[in-house]
Formats: sequence, structure tokens, C-alpha cells
Amino acid sequence: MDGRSWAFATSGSTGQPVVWHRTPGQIAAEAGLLADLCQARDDGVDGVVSFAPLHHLYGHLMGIAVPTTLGVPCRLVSVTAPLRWAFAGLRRPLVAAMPAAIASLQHSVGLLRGLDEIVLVHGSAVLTPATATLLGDLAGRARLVDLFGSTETGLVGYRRSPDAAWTPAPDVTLAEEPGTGRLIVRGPRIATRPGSPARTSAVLEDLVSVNPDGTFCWSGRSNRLLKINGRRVHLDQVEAALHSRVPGATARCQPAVDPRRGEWFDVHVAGADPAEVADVERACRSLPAWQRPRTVRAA
Amino acid sequence: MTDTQSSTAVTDRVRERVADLLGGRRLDPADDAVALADLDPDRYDSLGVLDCVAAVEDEFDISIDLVDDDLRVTFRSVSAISDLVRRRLADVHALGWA
Repeated sequence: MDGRSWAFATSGSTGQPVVWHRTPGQIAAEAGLLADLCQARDDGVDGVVSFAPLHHLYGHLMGIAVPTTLGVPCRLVSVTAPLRWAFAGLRRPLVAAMPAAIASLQHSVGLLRGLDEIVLVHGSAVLTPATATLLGDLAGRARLVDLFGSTETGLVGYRRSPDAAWTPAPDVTLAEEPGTGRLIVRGPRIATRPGSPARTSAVLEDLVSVNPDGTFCWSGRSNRLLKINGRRVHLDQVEAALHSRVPGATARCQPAVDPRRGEWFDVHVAGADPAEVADVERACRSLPAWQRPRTVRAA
Repeated sequence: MTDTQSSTAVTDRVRERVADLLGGRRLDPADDAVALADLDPDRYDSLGVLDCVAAVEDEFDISIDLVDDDLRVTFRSVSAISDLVRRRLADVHALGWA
């Protein structure tokens, strides 16, 4: 925070890191919205358990701003930590999760079944099938609030079921960009770049279709960008890096759902030459960690 | 199969699955006690640990309870994982679930 705003930087995994500034008023407004969406006020929840890193907008909101708004304690938890202490003394926690946290919570269902109610907030990544499984395992004890947004725009929409269309946040209006279908977001919580004037709209790479009732459906992105555990990876950049390391091989990145990262990808090598596949495997190991694929295989 | 052979087999299977997760690199049995995060810090981060939990559950058809276990300890190395697997397999056998 620089005295006037909070700064959140993107990872820089697809280029130079981008810094976005948010005013304290924008943060407070978003925390209030989230508290209302989670029906968390008036003793609705008695604490927050957050798996989200504080230096990201989602983690800051769920780990600091929302607990402050609600006046409840917050426990920051790693996905590898034992969960008994994290929930100790809580009966109606709000849990801020992402796919890796869902995987961790799935291994603690017995503990979670002992709680009165859980508000399961999910953000920063594509919802995985494991979330629906977890909700089923908790047999009506958990309420889902799935969030759609970005560091640039903040919260754009939400839904309460994995299969539902998204409902826009009450203070935003949405539109499809003519010709591209990219999502245009207008509202009072758009972040600004350092030294730039305030903005009231932003265009995201997400492709959506807006329904007649105002809800919207997400159909992917306008480019080959993935968000792997919240980190942006551009598959064109990965393929270019592999081509420069193994010029003779044709390696194609294929997106895949991953239960712990939300999205990931496999590399398919054209032809069945084992030596060429091995060369691509070696090349993959030389990539930065966040660009490495789940598997390399012959196409 | 003797207990020692069985114990060695568990460790061999754990080492093989971990090697797959670390991108197919060869793991030396002499490094079984070395922290996997030291061997491959990029791949064996918190998500890599969760990948390993899923792989071990799949390999041995067991369930890992995270309520009380700190994965940074129980999944620290091939030896630590093998010890946990042996305890879980013993539990399964004792409870007649096998």
C-alpha cells in the first residue's frame, strides 16, 4: 500500500509483471459485496479459513478485507498443513479455496462433517469436478459461492452451483465486445495502472455469452492462455520455447483439467520416434517451472 | 515374501511413482532420506506434494487423512512416504479392509 492504494502485481509468467492499484474504497466495497454474497453478516459465519495467498487480490480480500468487514478471525492455511487446528473452535466457517485447497479439504471430510455449516468460496481458477464431489460428500452442510473475476476488474460475477450460469456482481454491467466476443466489464472497482487515470471499464480475454436474463456463460478465452493455479501460462509461448530447443520436433500443447491446479496441459509430440519424445521431455525440464507440462507423449 | 522384502517393495514402488512425478528423473535409493523439495524444488512444491498424495493413494489403494498429518513431514522424502504407506497398509490389514 502506498498511502492511497493497494498494489497487486501479476506473476509476469507471460511477460512483464503488471501492477494494478486499488483504492481502499474499492477494496472495502468488494469486501462488503463478498460478505453479502456469502450471506456471512449477522453471525452467518464465525471465522474465515483462507488458503489463498495474501499478495493476490483474492487472498487479500478473503484473508484480510472480508474478515475485517465481518469482525471475525481469519486463519491462513497452507494446502499441506494439518487442518484440525485451522477449524478448531469454529462452527460456521467461511473457507476461501482454490482447486488445490479443494483437494486438501477432500482428505478431511470427516472433520468438516462435524461443523454446522461451511460457506465454501472458490476463486482464482476454473472449478474442478472435485468441488461437486466435495459438496456431495458434505451432504448439504456446505454452500458454494464460486467467484469470477480478475486482478484488473475485481469481482465480476458469481454462482452458487457448479452448473449454473454466472450472475453479474450488483455494481457491474457486462457486454460482449463486438467482433471478438471478449468480455467488457464496466463498474466502479476497475483497477488502475500506476500513474494512470481512474477507469470505469476493462476488456478481459474471457469469452462469454450474455443471456437474456442478464446472467452469462463463460466459453473460454480469446487466446491460448491458461491459468495454472492462478498463474498465467500462454501455450503459444511454451510451444515457441520448445521449438527453439528442439527445432526438428513438432510439439503441441493440449489443455487439460487438473484436479489440483484447475488447468494444466500435456505436450503431444507428432510422430512416434521415442528419441524425439525424449528430446522434448528434456527440453520441458529446462523450461521455467510454471511452464512445464503435466506429461509429454507421442501424439 | 518376508517383511523385509515387502518393506523394500513398498519403498521401490514409492520411489518409482515419485520419479514419475518429478518428470521421469532417476531417483537413487541412496537418496531415499533426502528431502524431495531439495532434489527438485520447482516440481515438489505444495502442489507437487498433493500430486504425490494422489499418486500414492492410487498406487496402494489407500486413503491419506490430512486432518492431523503435516504433509511437509509425512511426504518429505521417499523414506517418509514409505513409512506412512506401511502404517496405512498395516491399518487396512488390521481392520480387515484388505
